[in-house]
Amino acid sequence: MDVLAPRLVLPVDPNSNIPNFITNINTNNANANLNVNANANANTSNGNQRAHPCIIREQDQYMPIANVIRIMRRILPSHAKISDDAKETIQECVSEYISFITGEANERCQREQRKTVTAEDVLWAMGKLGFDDYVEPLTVYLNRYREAENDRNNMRVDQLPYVGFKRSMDYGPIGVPPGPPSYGPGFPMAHHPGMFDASAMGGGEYHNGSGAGGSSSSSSGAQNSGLPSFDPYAQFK
Amino acid sequence: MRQAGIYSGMFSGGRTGPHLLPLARIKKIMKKSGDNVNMISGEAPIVFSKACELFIEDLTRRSWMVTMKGKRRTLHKDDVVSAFMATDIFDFLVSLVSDSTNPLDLTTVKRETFQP
Repeated sequence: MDVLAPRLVLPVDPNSNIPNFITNINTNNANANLNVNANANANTSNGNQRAHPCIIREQDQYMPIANVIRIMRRILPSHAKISDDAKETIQECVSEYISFITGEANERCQREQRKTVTAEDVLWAMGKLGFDDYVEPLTVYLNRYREAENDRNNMRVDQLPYVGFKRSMDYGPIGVPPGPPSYGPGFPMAHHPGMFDASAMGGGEYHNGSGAGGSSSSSSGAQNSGLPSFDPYAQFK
Repeated sequence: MRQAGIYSGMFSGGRTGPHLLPLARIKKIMKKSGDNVNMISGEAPIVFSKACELFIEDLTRRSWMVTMKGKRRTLHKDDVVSAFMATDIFDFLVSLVSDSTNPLDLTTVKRETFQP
Protein backbone atom coordinates (compact mmCIF):
# COMPACT_ATOMS: atom_id res chain seq x y z
CA MET A 1 0.00 0.00 0.00
CA ASP A 2 1.47 3.26 -1.08
CA VAL A 3 0.42 6.03 1.21
CA LEU A 4 1.59 8.82 -1.01
CA ALA A 5 0.11 7.86 -4.33
CA PRO A 6 -2.35 10.45 -5.56
CA ARG A 7 -5.88 9.29 -5.17
CA LEU A 8 -7.95 9.12 -8.31
CA VAL A 9 -11.35 10.70 -8.10
CA LEU A 10 -13.86 10.60 -10.91
CA PRO A 11 -17.06 12.60 -11.13
CA VAL A 12 -20.04 10.41 -10.37
CA ASP A 13 -22.19 9.91 -13.45
CA PRO A 14 -24.91 7.33 -13.02
CA ASN A 15 -25.45 7.07 -16.76
CA SER A 16 -21.91 6.32 -17.71
CA ASN A 17 -20.01 3.07 -17.78
CA ILE A 18 -17.06 4.54 -15.99
CA PRO A 19 -16.47 2.83 -12.71
CA ASN A 20 -16.82 5.07 -9.73
CA PHE A 21 -13.64 5.59 -7.76
CA ILE A 22 -14.24 6.53 -4.23
CA THR A 23 -11.81 8.18 -1.92
CA ASN A 24 -12.04 10.21 1.24
CA ILE A 25 -11.54 13.84 0.62
CA ASN A 26 -10.58 16.09 3.47
CA THR A 27 -12.53 19.21 2.71
CA ASN A 28 -11.79 20.94 6.00
CA ASN A 29 -8.27 21.74 5.12
CA ALA A 30 -7.93 25.03 3.36
CA ASN A 31 -4.65 23.87 1.91
CA ALA A 32 -6.15 21.08 -0.19
CA ASN A 33 -4.63 21.14 -3.63
CA LEU A 34 -6.37 20.23 -6.82
CA ASN A 35 -4.31 18.96 -9.72
CA VAL A 36 -6.22 18.17 -12.85
CA ASN A 37 -4.64 15.58 -15.03
CA ALA A 38 -6.51 15.14 -18.26
CA ASN A 39 -4.27 12.44 -19.63
CA ALA A 40 -5.05 9.54 -17.36
CA ASN A 41 -7.32 6.84 -18.71
CA ALA A 42 -9.98 4.99 -16.80
CA ASN A 43 -10.19 1.26 -17.27
CA THR A 44 -13.64 0.63 -18.65
CA SER A 45 -15.43 -1.94 -20.68
CA ASN A 46 -16.26 0.74 -23.19
CA GLY A 47 -12.78 1.54 -24.39
CA ASN A 48 -13.77 4.74 -26.15
CA GLN A 49 -14.88 6.60 -23.08
CA ARG A 50 -12.28 8.72 -21.40
CA ALA A 51 -12.49 9.90 -17.86
CA HIS A 52 -11.48 13.32 -16.66
CA PRO A 53 -10.00 12.46 -13.35
CA CYS A 54 -9.23 14.98 -10.68
CA ILE A 55 -6.27 14.02 -8.55
CA ILE A 56 -6.68 15.37 -5.06
CA ARG A 57 -3.99 15.21 -2.44
CA GLU A 58 -5.27 13.84 0.81
CA GLN A 59 -4.09 16.31 3.40
CA ASP A 60 -4.62 13.88 6.23
CA GLN A 61 -1.57 11.93 5.23
CA TYR A 62 0.79 14.88 5.38
CA MET A 63 2.07 17.25 8.02
CA PRO A 64 0.23 20.57 7.87
CA ILE A 65 1.95 22.71 5.31
CA ALA A 66 2.07 25.77 7.54
CA ASN A 67 4.07 23.87 10.14
CA VAL A 68 6.43 22.54 7.51
CA ILE A 69 7.01 26.02 6.14
CA ARG A 70 7.65 27.39 9.60
CA ILE A 71 10.42 24.87 10.13
CA MET A 72 11.90 25.54 6.71
CA ARG A 73 11.97 29.26 7.43
CA ARG A 74 14.19 28.62 10.42
CA ILE A 75 16.89 27.47 8.03
CA LEU A 76 16.38 29.76 5.08
CA PRO A 77 17.57 33.35 4.89
CA SER A 78 14.82 35.93 5.12
CA HIS A 79 14.95 36.85 1.45
CA ALA A 80 14.47 33.27 0.30
CA LYS A 81 11.29 32.25 -1.43
CA ILE A 82 9.83 28.79 -1.57
CA SER A 83 7.85 27.59 -4.53
CA ASP A 84 4.57 25.79 -3.88
CA ASP A 85 5.76 22.56 -5.43
CA ALA A 86 8.83 22.59 -3.21
CA LYS A 87 6.61 22.94 -0.14
CA GLU A 88 4.45 20.05 -1.26
CA THR A 89 7.46 17.92 -2.04
CA ILE A 90 8.90 18.43 1.41
CA GLN A 91 5.50 17.61 2.91
CA GLU A 92 5.50 14.34 0.99
CA CYS A 93 9.09 13.62 2.01
CA VAL A 94 8.21 13.96 5.69
CA SER A 95 5.36 11.50 5.44
CA GLU A 96 7.54 9.12 3.51
CA TYR A 97 10.20 9.46 6.20
CA ILE A 98 7.75 8.59 8.96
CA SER A 99 6.46 5.58 7.04
CA PHE A 100 9.94 4.41 6.20
CA ILE A 101 11.22 4.52 9.77
CA THR A 102 8.01 3.13 11.24
CA GLY A 103 8.08 0.22 8.82
CA GLU A 104 11.53 -0.76 9.97
CA ALA A 105 10.69 -0.25 13.64
CA ASN A 106 7.54 -2.30 13.28
CA GLU A 107 9.41 -5.15 11.60
CA ARG A 108 11.73 -5.29 14.55
CA CYS A 109 8.77 -5.44 16.93
CA GLN A 110 7.29 -8.30 14.99
CA ARG A 111 10.55 -10.20 14.95
CA GLU A 112 10.77 -9.82 18.69
CA GLN A 113 7.08 -10.61 19.03
CA ARG A 114 6.18 -7.35 20.66
CA LYS A 115 2.97 -5.54 19.92
CA THR A 116 3.91 -1.97 20.67
CA VAL A 117 6.22 0.20 18.65
CA THR A 118 8.15 2.15 21.25
CA ALA A 119 10.32 5.22 21.11
CA GLU A 120 13.35 2.97 21.40
CA ASP A 121 12.26 1.04 18.33
CA VAL A 122 11.97 4.28 16.41
CA LEU A 123 15.42 5.40 17.50
CA TRP A 124 16.90 2.03 16.66
CA ALA A 125 15.33 2.12 13.19
CA MET A 126 16.75 5.57 12.56
CA GLY A 127 20.22 4.40 13.48
CA LYS A 128 19.89 1.36 11.28
CA LEU A 129 18.65 3.32 8.28
CA GLY A 130 21.51 5.79 8.37
CA PHE A 131 20.08 8.65 10.39
CA ASP A 132 22.74 8.33 13.07
CA ASP A 133 23.13 12.07 13.32
CA TYR A 134 19.60 12.35 14.58
CA VAL A 135 19.80 9.64 17.20
CA GLU A 136 21.75 11.54 19.82
CA PRO A 137 19.74 14.78 19.81
CA LEU A 138 16.55 12.73 19.78
CA THR A 139 17.72 10.68 22.74
CA VAL A 140 18.44 13.85 24.68
CA TYR A 141 15.02 15.21 23.70
CA LEU A 142 13.30 12.02 24.76
CA ASN A 143 15.07 11.92 28.10
CA ARG A 144 14.14 15.51 28.83
CA TYR A 145 10.55 14.70 27.96
CA ARG A 146 10.57 11.72 30.29
CA GLU A 147 12.05 13.76 33.10
CA ALA A 148 9.37 16.36 32.62
CA GLU A 149 6.65 13.71 32.65
CA ASN A 150 8.06 12.25 35.84
CA ASP A 151 8.12 15.68 37.40
CA ARG A 152 4.50 16.17 36.51
CA ASN A 153 3.45 12.83 37.89
CA ASN A 154 5.42 12.90 41.10
CA MET A 155 5.57 16.47 42.16
CA ARG A 156 3.69 17.74 45.20
CA VAL A 157 3.41 21.40 46.07
CA ASP A 158 4.78 21.07 49.59
CA GLN A 159 7.90 19.36 48.35
CA LEU A 160 8.84 21.83 45.69
CA PRO A 161 12.04 23.69 46.39
CA TYR A 162 10.70 26.62 44.43
CA VAL A 163 7.30 27.93 45.28
CA GLY A 164 5.80 29.52 42.21
CA PHE A 165 2.07 29.47 42.22
CA LYS A 166 -0.67 27.04 43.08
CA ARG A 167 -2.61 25.17 40.48
CA SER A 168 -5.88 23.41 40.85
CA MET A 169 -4.52 20.26 39.26
CA ASP A 170 -3.50 17.57 41.62
CA TYR A 171 -0.06 17.02 40.28
CA GLY A 172 1.13 20.40 41.28
CA PRO A 173 2.62 23.32 39.40
CA ILE A 174 4.74 22.53 36.42
CA GLY A 175 6.52 25.81 36.23
CA VAL A 176 9.70 24.08 37.18
CA PRO A 177 12.82 26.05 36.42
CA PRO A 178 15.38 24.35 34.25
CA GLY A 179 17.92 22.13 35.87
CA PRO A 180 15.89 19.56 37.73
CA PRO A 181 17.26 18.38 41.05
CA SER A 182 19.90 15.77 40.54
CA TYR A 183 18.51 12.39 41.14
CA GLY A 184 20.43 9.84 43.10
CA PRO A 185 22.13 6.99 41.36
CA GLY A 186 19.20 4.77 42.15
CA PHE A 187 16.86 6.74 39.97
CA PRO A 188 15.16 4.19 37.83
CA MET A 189 15.13 6.06 34.57
CA ALA A 190 17.89 4.05 33.04
CA HIS A 191 17.71 0.92 35.07
CA HIS A 192 14.11 -0.09 35.35
CA PRO A 193 12.46 0.19 32.00
CA GLY A 194 9.37 -1.66 33.21
CA MET A 195 8.58 0.75 35.99
CA PHE A 196 9.65 3.59 33.91
CA ASP A 197 7.36 2.79 31.03
CA ALA A 198 4.31 2.91 33.22
CA SER A 199 4.80 6.51 34.15
CA ALA A 200 6.29 7.61 30.90
CA MET A 201 3.21 6.42 29.15
CA GLY A 202 1.04 8.41 31.49
CA GLY A 203 0.34 10.60 28.54
CA GLY A 204 -1.61 7.79 26.96
CA GLU A 205 -0.91 4.89 24.76
CA TYR A 206 -2.22 4.68 21.26
CA HIS A 207 -3.49 1.35 20.18
CA ASN A 208 -5.67 -0.27 17.57
CA GLY A 209 -8.67 -2.44 18.08
CA SER A 210 -9.53 -4.06 21.32
CA GLY A 211 -6.12 -5.34 22.22
CA ALA A 212 -5.55 -4.37 25.81
CA GLY A 213 -1.88 -4.72 26.56
CA GLY A 214 -0.75 -4.94 30.10
CA SER A 215 0.91 -1.60 29.98
CA SER A 216 -2.21 0.27 28.99
CA SER A 217 -3.98 -0.63 32.19
CA SER A 218 -1.09 0.46 34.30
CA SER A 219 -0.86 3.86 32.73
CA SER A 220 -3.91 5.17 34.55
CA GLY A 221 -2.55 3.87 37.82
CA ALA A 222 0.71 5.59 37.21
CA GLN A 223 -1.01 8.93 36.93
CA ASN A 224 -2.09 8.87 40.52
CA SER A 225 0.59 6.99 42.33
CA GLY A 226 3.65 7.75 40.29
CA LEU A 227 6.49 5.52 41.32
CA PRO A 228 5.35 4.16 44.62
CA SER A 229 8.67 2.86 45.77
CA PHE A 230 10.71 5.86 44.90
CA ASP A 231 10.60 9.40 46.16
CA PRO A 232 12.90 11.63 44.17
CA TYR A 233 12.50 14.41 46.69
CA ALA A 234 13.52 12.36 49.67
CA GLN A 235 16.78 14.22 49.68
CA PHE A 236 14.95 17.48 50.20
CA LYS A 237 13.07 16.44 53.29
CA MET B 1 -3.37 33.20 34.51
CA ARG B 2 -1.98 29.78 33.98
CA GLN B 3 1.52 29.66 32.64
CA ALA B 4 2.80 26.65 30.87
CA GLY B 5 6.10 25.40 32.21
CA ILE B 6 8.95 25.10 29.81
CA TYR B 7 8.46 21.38 29.52
CA SER B 8 4.71 21.10 29.57
CA GLY B 9 4.31 23.73 26.88
CA MET B 10 6.88 21.98 24.79
CA PHE B 11 5.70 18.45 25.15
CA SER B 12 1.97 18.49 25.58
CA GLY B 13 0.23 16.86 22.72
CA GLY B 14 -2.08 18.97 20.66
CA ARG B 15 -0.76 22.35 21.76
CA THR B 16 0.78 24.82 19.41
CA GLY B 17 3.96 26.65 20.27
CA PRO B 18 7.30 24.94 20.71
CA HIS B 19 5.72 21.59 19.77
CA LEU B 20 5.75 22.08 16.03
CA LEU B 21 4.10 19.05 14.51
CA PRO B 22 0.74 17.54 15.42
CA LEU B 23 1.09 14.24 17.24
CA ALA B 24 -2.26 12.88 16.09
CA ARG B 25 -1.31 13.34 12.46
CA ILE B 26 2.05 11.65 13.04
CA LYS B 27 0.30 8.75 14.68
CA LYS B 28 -2.07 8.47 11.73
CA ILE B 29 0.78 8.31 9.26
CA MET B 30 2.60 5.74 11.40
CA LYS B 31 -0.47 3.54 11.45
CA LYS B 32 -0.80 3.73 7.71
CA SER B 33 2.80 2.78 7.11
CA GLY B 34 1.99 -0.90 7.10
CA ASP B 35 -1.00 -3.19 7.46
CA ASN B 36 0.35 -4.75 10.60
CA VAL B 37 1.17 -1.78 12.78
CA ASN B 38 -0.59 -2.61 16.02
CA MET B 39 0.09 -0.43 18.99
CA ILE B 40 2.17 2.68 19.16
CA SER B 41 3.57 3.91 22.43
CA GLY B 42 2.73 7.44 23.45
CA GLU B 43 6.32 8.50 23.15
CA ALA B 44 6.92 7.36 19.60
CA PRO B 45 5.04 10.25 17.93
CA ILE B 46 6.87 12.62 20.23
CA VAL B 47 10.22 11.33 19.04
CA PHE B 48 8.97 11.64 15.48
CA SER B 49 7.81 15.21 15.95
CA LYS B 50 11.37 16.19 16.76
CA ALA B 51 12.83 13.85 14.17
CA CYS B 52 10.68 15.37 11.44
CA GLU B 53 11.86 18.81 12.45
CA LEU B 54 15.44 17.64 12.08
CA PHE B 55 14.59 15.99 8.80
CA ILE B 56 12.90 19.08 7.36
CA GLU B 57 15.79 21.25 8.48
CA ASP B 58 18.30 18.83 6.95
CA LEU B 59 16.50 18.56 3.64
CA THR B 60 15.85 22.30 3.48
CA ARG B 61 19.49 23.08 4.15
CA ARG B 62 20.65 20.76 1.38
CA SER B 63 18.01 22.00 -1.03
CA TRP B 64 18.93 25.60 -0.40
CA MET B 65 22.55 24.83 -1.20
CA VAL B 66 21.43 23.62 -4.61
CA THR B 67 19.37 26.79 -5.07
CA MET B 68 22.33 28.96 -4.19
CA LYS B 69 24.53 27.09 -6.60
CA GLY B 70 22.08 28.03 -9.32
CA LYS B 71 22.27 31.64 -8.11
CA ARG B 72 18.56 31.75 -7.45
CA ARG B 73 16.53 32.89 -4.48
CA THR B 74 13.52 30.71 -4.90
CA LEU B 75 13.69 27.16 -3.70
CA HIS B 76 12.09 24.92 -6.29
CA LYS B 77 11.03 21.32 -6.29
CA ASP B 78 13.97 20.42 -8.52
CA ASP B 79 16.34 21.69 -5.86
CA VAL B 80 14.72 19.44 -3.30
CA VAL B 81 14.93 16.50 -5.66
CA SER B 82 18.59 17.17 -6.44
CA ALA B 83 19.29 17.39 -2.74
CA PHE B 84 17.85 14.05 -1.87
CA MET B 85 19.21 12.32 -4.95
CA ALA B 86 22.66 13.37 -3.85
CA THR B 87 22.29 11.95 -0.36
CA ASP B 88 22.50 8.23 0.30
CA ILE B 89 20.28 8.13 3.32
CA PHE B 90 17.52 9.87 1.39
CA ASP B 91 17.35 7.09 -1.20
CA PHE B 92 13.93 6.09 0.08
CA LEU B 93 12.60 9.35 -1.32
CA VAL B 94 13.40 8.38 -4.89
CA SER B 95 10.03 6.68 -5.20
CA LEU B 96 8.32 10.04 -4.73
CA VAL B 97 9.97 11.40 -7.83
CA SER B 98 9.15 8.45 -10.02
CA ASP B 99 5.49 8.70 -9.01
CA SER B 100 5.14 12.31 -9.92
CA THR B 101 6.92 12.06 -13.25
CA ASN B 102 4.82 9.11 -14.25
CA PRO B 103 1.20 10.19 -13.92
CA LEU B 104 -0.11 7.27 -15.93
CA ASP B 105 1.22 4.79 -13.44
CA LEU B 106 -1.95 3.92 -11.57
CA THR B 107 -0.82 0.61 -10.15
CA THR B 108 -0.04 2.05 -6.75
CA VAL B 109 -3.32 3.88 -6.38
CA LYS B 110 -5.60 2.27 -3.90
CA ARG B 111 -9.09 2.36 -5.24
CA GLU B 112 -12.43 0.72 -4.82
CA THR B 113 -14.57 -0.05 -7.79
CA PHE B 114 -18.29 -0.57 -7.90
CA GLN B 115 -19.58 -3.25 -10.18
CA PRO B 116 -23.12 -2.22 -11.07
